[in-house]
Amino acid sequence: MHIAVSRRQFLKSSAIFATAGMAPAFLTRSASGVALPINGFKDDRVLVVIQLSGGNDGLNTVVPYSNDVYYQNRPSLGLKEDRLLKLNDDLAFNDKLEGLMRLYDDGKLGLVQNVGYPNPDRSHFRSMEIWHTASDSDAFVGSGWIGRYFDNTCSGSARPQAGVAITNERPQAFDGEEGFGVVFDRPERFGWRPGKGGDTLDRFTELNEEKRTGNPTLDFLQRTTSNAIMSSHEVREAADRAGFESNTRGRNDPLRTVAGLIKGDLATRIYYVSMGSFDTHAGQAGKHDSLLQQFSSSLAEFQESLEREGLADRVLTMVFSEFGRRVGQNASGGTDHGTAAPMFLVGSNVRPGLYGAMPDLTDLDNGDLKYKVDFRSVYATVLEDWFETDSKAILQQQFDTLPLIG
Amino acid sequence: MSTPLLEPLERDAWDARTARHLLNRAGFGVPRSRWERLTSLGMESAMRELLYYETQFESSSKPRLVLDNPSVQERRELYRDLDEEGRRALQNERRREERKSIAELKGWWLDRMLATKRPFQEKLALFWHGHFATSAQKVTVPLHNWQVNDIVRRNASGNFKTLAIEMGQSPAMLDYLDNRRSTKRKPNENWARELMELFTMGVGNYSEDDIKNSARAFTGWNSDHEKFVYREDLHDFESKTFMGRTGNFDGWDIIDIIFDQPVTAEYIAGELWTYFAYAEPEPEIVSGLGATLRDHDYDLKPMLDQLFASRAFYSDKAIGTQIKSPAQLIIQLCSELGVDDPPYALVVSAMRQLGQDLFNPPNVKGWDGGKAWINANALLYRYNLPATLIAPRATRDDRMQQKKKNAAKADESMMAERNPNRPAPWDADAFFGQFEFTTVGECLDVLTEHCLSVPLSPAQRATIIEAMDARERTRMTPNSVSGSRMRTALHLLTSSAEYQLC
Repeated sequence: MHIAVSRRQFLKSSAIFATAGMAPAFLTRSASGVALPINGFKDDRVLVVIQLSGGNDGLNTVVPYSNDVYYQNRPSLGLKEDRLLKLNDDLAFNDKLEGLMRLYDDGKLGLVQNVGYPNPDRSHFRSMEIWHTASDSDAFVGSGWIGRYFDNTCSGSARPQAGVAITNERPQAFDGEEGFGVVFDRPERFGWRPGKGGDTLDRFTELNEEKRTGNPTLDFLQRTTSNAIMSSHEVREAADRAGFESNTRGRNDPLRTVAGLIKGDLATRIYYVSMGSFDTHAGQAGKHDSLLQQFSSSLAEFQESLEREGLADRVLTMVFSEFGRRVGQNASGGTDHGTAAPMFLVGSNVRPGLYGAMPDLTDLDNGDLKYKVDFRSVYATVLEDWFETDSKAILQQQFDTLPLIG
Repeated sequence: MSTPLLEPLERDAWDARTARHLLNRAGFGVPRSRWERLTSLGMESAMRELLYYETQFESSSKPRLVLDNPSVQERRELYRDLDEEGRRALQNERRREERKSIAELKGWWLDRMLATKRPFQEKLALFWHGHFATSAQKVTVPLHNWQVNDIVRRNASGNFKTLAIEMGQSPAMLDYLDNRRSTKRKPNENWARELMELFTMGVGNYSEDDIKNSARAFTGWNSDHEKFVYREDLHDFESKTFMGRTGNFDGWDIIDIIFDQPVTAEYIAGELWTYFAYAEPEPEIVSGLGATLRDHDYDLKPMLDQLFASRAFYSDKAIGTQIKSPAQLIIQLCSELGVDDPPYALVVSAMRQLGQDLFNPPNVKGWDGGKAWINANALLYRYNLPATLIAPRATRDDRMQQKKKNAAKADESMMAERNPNRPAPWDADAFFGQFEFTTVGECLDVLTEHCLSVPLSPAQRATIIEAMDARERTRMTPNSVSGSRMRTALHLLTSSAEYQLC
């Protein structure tokens, strides 16, 4: 049960509880194992978005090994028989994706091939912006798709931490009217830093409590401050409950932090992490392998830890990159910015298998793959079938969904 | 016809509060010494000094690193004898240099905002940068970014029509809104649309046909690697109908017709009022300022004079009601605390984190401003920033010592590269020394007056007093307000919601 508590009471009481080593009852719901909705949402489902920043080479991630054109275009980078984990007679994972292969074999992985968008832009920044805002490639949209989802769907009890990014910078995808979405690289770093004297967190909190001054802008600032303080408090509480302050390894792997915060029951709907850089213009072979290895083992470990904690049913993970890379390798043993690339969906609710058509290596647009699935179809699928919300209101266009979830 | 809202402020209403308000809004806040002087000067002289900035000396310094942009021919020369790998290497090198150059531009501008004797010029330049937005994300050539910065500064309080033409003919805008890709066979409507929707008239004052026809008129507005060129071979010489007039119009004609529309003057007057005073101005303000602008053929000065002298500008609706933009927050913070030489890497990164990355507005609309600056992260970042800025940093002597130590261990040139002129530490003694107080309460009151545009409640004041007392429990004796107590007060004051307002 949620008890109506004013912010002021909440801040006071939680401070007391924190010192007594207890948390308010409504913050410890999952101990009972009963699924309760996330504050501000109608159910307890979580989405984790993994961004492979820099442009992941899709063709050396999911290899069309039956196609000679692939090897002709990649004389030194093409992955030979001994480097493949075969998915079927045509496609194979890069052998560094053992973790992903395990997820695939266990029926928890959906692979969407050839994902992109019309009139692709090959600039990192611009293409990333298109993925974050879910705009057409010639339109400039101020808000992000996740921000619009929050603006459309959150009820009044949602807090800023409805969205959490474990990144250095706020993802543009979070941009929206109501300012949902918080960003930190380490939970303990999210918050106001007290001074050495009497400038303590309690006094800072008291100073900035909402006072209804009659100056609406000041009231807005104080209200947002109180929310931010509560968010940072709740993030730390969740981190404490998950007990990973002592877990130094968590610092390097954002998915460990995410797993901890889910376990610690943070009232968060969407987590966002970024890995990379996958921008392999030169000497790609070793670099790309180790990036994939890291990504794959981290994701597999994440899924295992969710299962261990009995949380897997609540969590869906979606993986994307702002573009794939060119079909032909370049003279520096690397690949340049390209277009379409695979996306992955992982979770116990994913209908496993391969979606979309194989990349056609002979029908190219200026040396680049032609996309077959619009990335916004995948967003629409997640919005409709995972979050059970009207995707058109958020994506501002109607996109077909894929039977990926259920 | 004239509205009381635009009547000049009564002479005796000029005091420290109104003077501070003018300095905050028409600039980025100024050191205490200057606002005290401007208060005593009286309103007319103060306004003259601030608004007619041409009399103030300004060095004509340019950013150190604005790369030349080679022409197509020069580029061909450079690449001619290279193989694919060589070309790629050269391209990557070029991209790195470009990014460095843009970063330099950002730091240079922030430095200028802080050090300038003409704060109003920089404040206006920032307005125009957001108004005629172009982004270095698309316009990657540093020279083109520098050119638009120079244009908005030179024309900051000049003539709005001249500014619009110069911006429209800048290689940056021609690239950003695609007019250089526009031809009579395939006219591109991007520039034509935004010119009317965002830059001059506002949405709803023209038709889709007006956009189509003016896009045809602007064909031929093009650029080479460094400047505007008119390409007759791309221009559509057929007849066009625009805003009810028909003729063989070109881009200049379209701009003439746009500036014949009364709504154009009112639109920009409303935008300037929103930037300097408050959002959603009364219709009388917009029409009054618009009329002044029209009467002076779009010369901005008389209208700006009227704006900054008006009663409405000094009303309670205006004073202390604006959320500081990141630039305002940072520059005002530095100037109020006497941080003359902040670490620019930190400041540039703070601007980005707070959502006002210079030379990179989020889209063609520029920055929305107001509440859009605020979210949980941005707010906490704002509250943490002052302490970071005044945190003790290594002094020059410390650095020399450290350098000597390191030189023995590592290559000295590498150290120099990593730490080019680290800024001097914040001078706490100089800062606190400018105030007179004897008790904790007096100390807090002068600091409050110095930092805040809106008053603290008695409860908030009590909280800070309690914080100051917490460290040393003994009763204060006169003149013994310790450094740590002063810092505690300053830290909390600059970590307040009130501090976000100006």
